[in-house]
Amino acid sequence: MSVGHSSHAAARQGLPGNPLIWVLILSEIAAFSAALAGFAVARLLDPATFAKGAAALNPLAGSANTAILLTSGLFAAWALDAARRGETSATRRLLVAAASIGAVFVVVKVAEYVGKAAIGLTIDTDAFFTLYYLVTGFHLAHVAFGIAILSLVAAFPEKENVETGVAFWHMIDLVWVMVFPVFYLLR
Amino acid sequence: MKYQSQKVALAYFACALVLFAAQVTFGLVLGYIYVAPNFLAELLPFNIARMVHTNALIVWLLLGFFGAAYYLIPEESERELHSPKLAYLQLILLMVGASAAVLTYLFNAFEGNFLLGKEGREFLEQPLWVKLGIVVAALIFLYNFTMTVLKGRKTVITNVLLMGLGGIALFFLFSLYNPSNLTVDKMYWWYVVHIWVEGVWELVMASVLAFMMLKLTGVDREVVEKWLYVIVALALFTGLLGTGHHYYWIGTPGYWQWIGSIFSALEILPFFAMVLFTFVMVWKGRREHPNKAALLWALGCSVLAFFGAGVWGFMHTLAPMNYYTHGTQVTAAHGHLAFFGAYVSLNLAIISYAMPNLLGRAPYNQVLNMVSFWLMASGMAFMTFTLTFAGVVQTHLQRVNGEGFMEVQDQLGLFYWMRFGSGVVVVIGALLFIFAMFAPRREIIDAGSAVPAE
Amino acid sequence: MRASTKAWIVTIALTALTAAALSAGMNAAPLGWLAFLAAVTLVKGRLILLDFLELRATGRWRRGIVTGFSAAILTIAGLLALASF
Repeated sequence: MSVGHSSHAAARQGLPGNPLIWVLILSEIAAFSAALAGFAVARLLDPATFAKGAAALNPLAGSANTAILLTSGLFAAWALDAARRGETSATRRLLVAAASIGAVFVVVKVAEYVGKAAIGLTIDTDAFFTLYYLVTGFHLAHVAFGIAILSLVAAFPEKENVETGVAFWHMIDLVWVMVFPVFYLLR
Repeated sequence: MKYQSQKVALAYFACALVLFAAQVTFGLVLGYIYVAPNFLAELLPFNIARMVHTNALIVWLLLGFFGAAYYLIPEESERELHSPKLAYLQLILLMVGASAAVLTYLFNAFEGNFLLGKEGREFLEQPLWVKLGIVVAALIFLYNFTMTVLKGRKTVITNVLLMGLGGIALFFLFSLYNPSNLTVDKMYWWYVVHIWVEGVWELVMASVLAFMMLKLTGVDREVVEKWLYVIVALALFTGLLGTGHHYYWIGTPGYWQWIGSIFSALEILPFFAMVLFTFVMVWKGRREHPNKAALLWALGCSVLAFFGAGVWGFMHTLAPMNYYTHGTQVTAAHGHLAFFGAYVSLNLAIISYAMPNLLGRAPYNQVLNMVSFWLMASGMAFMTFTLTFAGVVQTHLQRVNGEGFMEVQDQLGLFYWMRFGSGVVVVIGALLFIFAMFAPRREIIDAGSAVPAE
Repeated sequence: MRASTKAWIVTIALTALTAAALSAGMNAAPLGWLAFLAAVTLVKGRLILLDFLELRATGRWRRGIVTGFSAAILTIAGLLALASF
């Protein structure tokens, strides 16, 4: 395990960015995978509740949110390209754009939560909704945190900062791609 | 010993070992009461002896941590300790407090008194004045440590150690908060216990192991630091929300069963990383350090912590499993091996490493020391196995079949006798270790180079 | 075209395709639908790992992480499939 590996660009290179962000990325994937596996087992034990729960969600909102995160991810990737070319103001603008698009995700998600709560579907309702609020809520917290990170990195747009902040943002995108079909599309 | 003020560690280690001897002795008494319930029943009720056993453990481990800090800070920050006098004052405070607490327990002194009498909660039975004394001692330490490091070299090892010890001090404050609602009481109780042993104590463990690997193996500081960061990140990421695995059945909302299961299941990762870390460092290291006993303890620490805290912890951490095993001998099995592997072994490792330097001798009595390791480790392992079997039988008879508690305990006698036997072995090992530390001898394993890392 | 742009096009297209398939009622057969979703998730995830997180040129790390990710998706899908038996 060559943790002492440097990250110079080469034909065979090490992980891009700070190795610690990769510890975080892999841990997050592990944690969310564990949660989704738990969901699958709980669904196996009570299929009716989970079918009912899935039917109450809005796949269009979920799909829209997927597209939103993917698009903001593209802007984040472009921001990193700009940072590598040393174009500071372009980097800043692209990071702010990515964060703003991410904010739209937050709006859509919160609207969903408010709508569900209004018809009495809360975290205590049943196993499906406990998991729905926990998993998408934990993810939403990461989106909010990610927006803050991207904003901070926009203020200090050195290449290493942008690399790390953008990697965190992509991880959030990746997790959503896993979470979305499990909750919204199994109907 | 490069800096004179490192000598402070000697006093801490000596006091720690005295309390270690007391701890395991009371442990033996408790193990005997299990099989002969009327033993000392009037003079030393089980719950009082248990208080001494658990409190002595925590205090001696903390003294060991402080001693380790006082030993390694001058060396890492490349300057003398800010105030050795304050360090001795801190030790006196802690020893007076610990002794006072024990006397209060044994004689039930000042029963019911708000300030002087023992308090109710498990592991936090110390009288209020003793708790406040501990807070003062912690503040003295943090001041001394910070002043030393501020003006000296700042290393990742000292930063992580400071974070760990600062966290210990901060979260101990929650011991002063005792809400009247039993659920909320228990919720905050774990802020001390869980966030200590499955959180900030792991930072202390990782940084002390890192220091030892640096000295014993000669691997580059940069490599050691990278590993240390990864271990700390894993420990905090999994351990903080992992607190939820104590919130399954105390009256908190049901979603804690999900949060606790998921994150606590991942708590095995930092312990696995520490096994990889210690073995990879030894494998890659260029140095043949003469202190073989210290290396054995360090490697033993990571392995036994992985099994006791990691594997045994995982076995009963998932909510559906814990529903059946909660509060059984399975818990005792896990708790004993976890503490022994992670924290007892860590302290015995750093003491083994530092003692020769503190006394100005080559590493000595290594064979005796290593024999004590194998005695204690095998004794604790056997204890873990017997208690695990007892716990599984207990879970099945009591929780699945519905038999009564005492009827089930009656059937576990054989396991408790075996456990008592293993306890005897552990006590012999402990006494042998203490003898090996203090009895003057000149035997060393080999004369290999003892040049410390840069 | 940059790798990240291509990845975006493919993943957006897959998202739209999935939404369309759902409206067209293709989720009728649970196992088939689950297999489809798993495949889409694997492709999307792999593109994010390789072209957003830039693992494409990292050799051993890329293989390890993509394998781990795929194992997680397949395990989850497998557990979800059990409900259909």
